[in-house]
Amino acid sequence: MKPKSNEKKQEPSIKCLVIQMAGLTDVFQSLMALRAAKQLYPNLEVTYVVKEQHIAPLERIPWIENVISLPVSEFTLPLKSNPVVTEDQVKKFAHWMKANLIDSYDLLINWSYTEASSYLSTIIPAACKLGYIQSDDLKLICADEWSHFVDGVIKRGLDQNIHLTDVLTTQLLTELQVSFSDPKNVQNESVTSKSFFNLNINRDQYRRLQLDLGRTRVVFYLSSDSERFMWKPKDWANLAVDLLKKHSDTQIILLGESDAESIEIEILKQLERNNLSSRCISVVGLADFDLYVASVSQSHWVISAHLPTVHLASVLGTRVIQLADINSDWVERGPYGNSHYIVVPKPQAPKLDPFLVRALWSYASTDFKRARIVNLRTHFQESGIDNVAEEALIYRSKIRSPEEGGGVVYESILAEHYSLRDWIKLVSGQVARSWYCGWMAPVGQEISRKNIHPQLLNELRNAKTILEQMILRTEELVVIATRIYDKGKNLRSDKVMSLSDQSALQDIYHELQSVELKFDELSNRSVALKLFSNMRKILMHNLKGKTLQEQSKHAVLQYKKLNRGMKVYLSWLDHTLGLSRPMIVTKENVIQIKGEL
Amino acid sequence: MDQQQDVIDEVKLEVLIRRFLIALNQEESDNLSEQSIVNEA
Repeated sequence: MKPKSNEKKQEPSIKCLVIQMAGLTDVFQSLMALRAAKQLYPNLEVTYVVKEQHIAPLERIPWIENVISLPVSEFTLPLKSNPVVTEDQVKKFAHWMKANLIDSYDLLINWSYTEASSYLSTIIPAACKLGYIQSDDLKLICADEWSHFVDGVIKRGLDQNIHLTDVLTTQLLTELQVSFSDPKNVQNESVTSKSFFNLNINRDQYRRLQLDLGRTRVVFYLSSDSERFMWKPKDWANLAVDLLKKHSDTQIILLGESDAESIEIEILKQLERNNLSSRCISVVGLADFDLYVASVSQSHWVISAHLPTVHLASVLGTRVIQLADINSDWVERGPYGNSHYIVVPKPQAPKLDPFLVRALWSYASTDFKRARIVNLRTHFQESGIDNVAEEALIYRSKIRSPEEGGGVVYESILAEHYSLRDWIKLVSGQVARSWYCGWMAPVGQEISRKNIHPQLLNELRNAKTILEQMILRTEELVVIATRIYDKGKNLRSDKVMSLSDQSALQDIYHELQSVELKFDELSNRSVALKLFSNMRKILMHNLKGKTLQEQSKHAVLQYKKLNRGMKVYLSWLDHTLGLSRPMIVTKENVIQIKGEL
Repeated sequence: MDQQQDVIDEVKLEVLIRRFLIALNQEESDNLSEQSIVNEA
């Protein structure tokens, strides 16, 4: 009998190449998704290509096997004086590839979503690819379905509510499960960690931080991003003074690049005047990556408008108050995790009030015990801010339970009514889940009667009438594409055919184009429906197949997919409109009014 | 997912590298390279 081996069968490694050519915000977001995948697939062997200036975080992550620095300036410098690429430059790049990359990867993830990266991901051989690539005829296309959504909706600024970290995580995990294996069963292992990075920090550097471990430490990351909501150095100084005055158990750590020195100087001046300097330390312009991470990880809170820092804090599990402007993309890029806050000044408010931010922090930092006693609105009133609902929108992050669909959601904690944009965000996110996750929340989840306003209902009634017509158009498109498929089946060649076949095909194409045009025109009549014309264009641009028959077959499937998504949307429209109908009041809910009539 | 195991011939490889370098240079010059996925709108 063969003796039983005690050794577990080693899973073969999955060689995975990640290309991220954007900035630090995207690097941090991709790390959250990769960490989640690595926990479920320990056999994932990650090679990460990043621009030379952003290599520091990657070099400090022990579970990333290889980090490759892309020397962008070395490759692009010669093109500044002469935009024609020489043979030598081609050879130099080919040499770089040979020296740094292996012959082929199992999985290539292009998370850059740029044109340049699409060429790079096409050049490097891999069995499976995600993100942008180039087609055989050099057209930029999406290699996977989530990328259709990124391209057609997220990149084009349409409203939806799936956080980018969740998009990347789901995109990667779906691919791993479909193309490789089921995940290892891991129970609720946290992705975020104070020790996410292996820091290279010495005692002298750490001493420079002078952290007061007995106090609640709050990082202010100072940057020009706060100018977007009209903050001047004085506003930061007001926030610092107010926070230290009202909370004697706090310490502030100032971080920022050297261009934030004017803000730093003003804060330090005002703190000096108020005898509060001893509770503030500044490393503005002095912190390298290690000190930057140590400052954030050793603090309890970060208050900032600076997105890379917001995401660094998310990765490290430090709580965040993000100062965002109304046009920023905080739904996709807000802090990830539980109980972070986002404060957004309303368009009609002149600017974000620093005292409001301090009052919010004061509430947020004690909310676990305080929320049961007093709500946020009352808290603001007690802090002398009566008109908070007119001034700002405030959101709190929450990770949904797996039963609710998972992922992060930002709950408005002041607004009473849904705007049309709020509604579109919620429902577009559900349509995406139905397309790509094979799962959708029960219709109506996260919508309650009290959030519905007559103006919203009017807009939704209008959208419903249009959507019903659009659904009919997609059904026509399925029929027409099927006719093209049938026609293609009977052709010996796509290129050589009789004049009558050619003419018949042209007629069907014109018919198809005419219905598509009507579809897009209908979609443009309501902002709530723009999602579908954008997705139609993306789906048709990314049709698979080389022959007429293959492409038309894929077109049929894509029109059906569009149709399914629209029916999901319709069910949410019906549900919301149904909430406005009068309800029978049960006896228990009737309040008896005593007194004489 | 896209099955992309195809071997690229040398001529096409050269074209792709040239286009990559031109696009990279363009994105750097336009200061687009640091932009994230969702800032484009």
